[in-house]
Amino acid sequence: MDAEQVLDLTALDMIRSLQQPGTEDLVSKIVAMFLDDAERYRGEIRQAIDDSDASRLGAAAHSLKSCAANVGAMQVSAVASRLEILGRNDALASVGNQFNDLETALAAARERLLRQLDS
Amino acid sequence: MTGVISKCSHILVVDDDATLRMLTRTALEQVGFLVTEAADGREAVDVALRSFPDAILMDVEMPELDGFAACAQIRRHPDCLDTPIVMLTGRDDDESIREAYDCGATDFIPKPINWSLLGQRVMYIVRASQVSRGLRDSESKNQAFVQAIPDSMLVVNRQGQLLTHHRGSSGSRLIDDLVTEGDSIFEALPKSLADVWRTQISRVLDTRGMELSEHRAKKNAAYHFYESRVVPYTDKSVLIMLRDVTEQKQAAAKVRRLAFYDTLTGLPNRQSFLIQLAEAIREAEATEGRIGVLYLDLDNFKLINDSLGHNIGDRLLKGIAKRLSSSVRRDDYVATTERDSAKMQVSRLGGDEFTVLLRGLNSVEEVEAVAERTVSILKEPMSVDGHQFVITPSVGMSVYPDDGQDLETLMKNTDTALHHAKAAGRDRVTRFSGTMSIRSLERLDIEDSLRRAIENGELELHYQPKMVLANRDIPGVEALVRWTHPDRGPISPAKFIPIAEDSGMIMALSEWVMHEACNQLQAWQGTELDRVRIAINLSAKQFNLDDLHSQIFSALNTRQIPFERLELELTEGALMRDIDSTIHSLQRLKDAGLLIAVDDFGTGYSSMSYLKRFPLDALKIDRSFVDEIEKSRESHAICKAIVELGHGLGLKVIAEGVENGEQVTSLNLMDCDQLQGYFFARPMPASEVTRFISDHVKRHLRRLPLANL
Repeated sequence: MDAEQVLDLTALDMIRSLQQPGTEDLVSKIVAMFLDDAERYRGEIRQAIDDSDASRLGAAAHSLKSCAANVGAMQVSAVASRLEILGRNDALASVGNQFNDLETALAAARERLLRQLDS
Repeated sequence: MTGVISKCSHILVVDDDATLRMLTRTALEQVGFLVTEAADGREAVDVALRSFPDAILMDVEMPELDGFAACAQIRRHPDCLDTPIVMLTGRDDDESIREAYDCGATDFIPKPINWSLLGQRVMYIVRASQVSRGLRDSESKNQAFVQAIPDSMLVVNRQGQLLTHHRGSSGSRLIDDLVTEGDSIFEALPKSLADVWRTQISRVLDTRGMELSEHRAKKNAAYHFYESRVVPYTDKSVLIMLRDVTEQKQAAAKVRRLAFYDTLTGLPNRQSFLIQLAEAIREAEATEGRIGVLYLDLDNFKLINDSLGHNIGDRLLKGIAKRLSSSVRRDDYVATTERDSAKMQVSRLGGDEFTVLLRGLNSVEEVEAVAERTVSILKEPMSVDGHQFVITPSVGMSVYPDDGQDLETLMKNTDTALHHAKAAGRDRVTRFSGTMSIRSLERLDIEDSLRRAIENGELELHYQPKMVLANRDIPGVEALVRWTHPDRGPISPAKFIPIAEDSGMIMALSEWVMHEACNQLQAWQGTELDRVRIAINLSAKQFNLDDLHSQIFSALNTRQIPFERLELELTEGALMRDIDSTIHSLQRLKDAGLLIAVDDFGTGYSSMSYLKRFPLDALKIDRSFVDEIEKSRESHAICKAIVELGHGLGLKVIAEGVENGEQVTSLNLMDCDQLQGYFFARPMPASEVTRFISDHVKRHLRRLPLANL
């Protein structure tokens, strides 16, 4: 694994700064949305790899890259970025262990995020 | 933290990432924006072109239509030319940033987005857009103003260098094709214009004031007029606005023309004439020169106008105007060869009245010569619409300073002279003279009216019976002319007969009287009045006419009237003019059967020796003696003497102006034959006198002596 952080807390801090008093907890909501989206993109990426659909891989990986960055899941975002490049360059053959890395990073991010919510 | 932007600015957020949309919305709503979302490029285009947001935040990588394409499509819409479109780009993605600008994006915000700053950032972007839109609006308004102004506009620095140039729709003729941006207008423009502006530009830059000037340029043989104004533009430049004011000038000229010129003939009108005359008087005062003032009246114009219509009349007036004007030119030519200052000015006062002003002349003779020449030009035959006319003018003339030294006097005297010219028989130039008094002017008016009175049937004969004292018989009546003027009412014969005598009008008047009297005699033919005589008055002039006899004889003959029914009354003055021819003339009349009486006897200077040689029938004692017969011994004696003289010469004697019973008694005692006067009967219209005589005859069938009354 590379040097990217599993969770960059400044992202959540910035989201938290948008929190208006008396409204639904923004961070919880965003994290919940991210977890949903991430799971969906993960499935799409898996499917694209299985179907050897490079453009779909690129699009799904791009989306995951962005939404992971939103919550500071930088490791997930980095892996998604690499998958996106592969997809864009029609280099499915080079995917290798990248999907596994993605799943590992996602799991780590999920764990850290949920812990953030609990605290 | 609020800016100048309106709180309700509406932002469209476009991203396929719902999380990002929600965070963006939250961030924007915190600073007061209204937020609309779109999940892909296509939806973004739909929403943007339907709701026209104040700003758009747009993700790049999206399904359906990516952000660049969506941005480009939105930007193409004419109402979205200024809408800020902010691309949300990935970090350090130089390629994306360049592409964003290429597709018309306004700005970019790199991801990850700093949420706490996003609201502020977008506020700045929206405000900048509003400011720039305001500038753009203001610029386009200014542009509209400039386009709408027909003036040519030049921005020029002190050296005359043309910095900006707006071609005008009106001023172009003078400058637009001559100048080039960057070059000096002072070199490109005509020197006269350049010099004016050079001075004005310096002055405007120094004083920050405004400079106005007018210019004139010839284009296609016609002059165009321009008005320029120079105003400060920047510290170092001025704005020159140049406007074509030719139309305004023309409109002003037209107003002037209407006010000062006659629309029919194009000649100066009365107003102009007054101004010209006043000016001429000032000039003549200064130069000690002379002015001739002529009033022209066309003698037969009214008749032409009435009989041939206004159309012909108007064209005739135009022809006259043209001829007068051309005579001005002819004279101008003469004048310039003879003397530079001489000139003629023609005006139309109205109707058929024209004036000619002769200026810069030295002698009265010169004025008279020019006047005569002008009239002779007018009198050349003129053809209008197949009709041949010879127009004769009556012209009144006065000369400054001889006949008047101020405007009012000159005009009044010229008018008087014109009336005299008309009275003297028209078709002539009459110069004013001091003897033309107001009273003589009244005479002239009467005379002028009298001329028309005969044609217009304003005259009427009244008849005054004469009565024989011895038997109350009415042997005859005297015809007396009565005139009722349509405006002035009755005019006394004492007033108009002398005027008619002086002017020669008496001829026409007497002729009318004779025919009218003969008509009456004819009407009485075959009635009980067919023995009643009518006496008419003959003037001295008429009496000297060669064809008097044939006139009288033919008037009577054509109506088959016995000659003795007409009696002629002549004054002593008429008789004594040329004794021998008078005797001859009277003898012919008397031989033919006419009766002849001497009227107003006693007032003239009768030569007794000649009196007996005249073949007369009666003497009429002048009313002045009868009037005083009871009061004055002298008058009494004169009446008595006249009766005796008459009887001595074998003549009947008739007293005129008998008004009371005392007079009748005295005259009766003197053995006067007949009397005439209000005591017995006043002058009456024909129908009345006919009835009077008939009644009188019935009442006095028998011859009763007056003493028995």
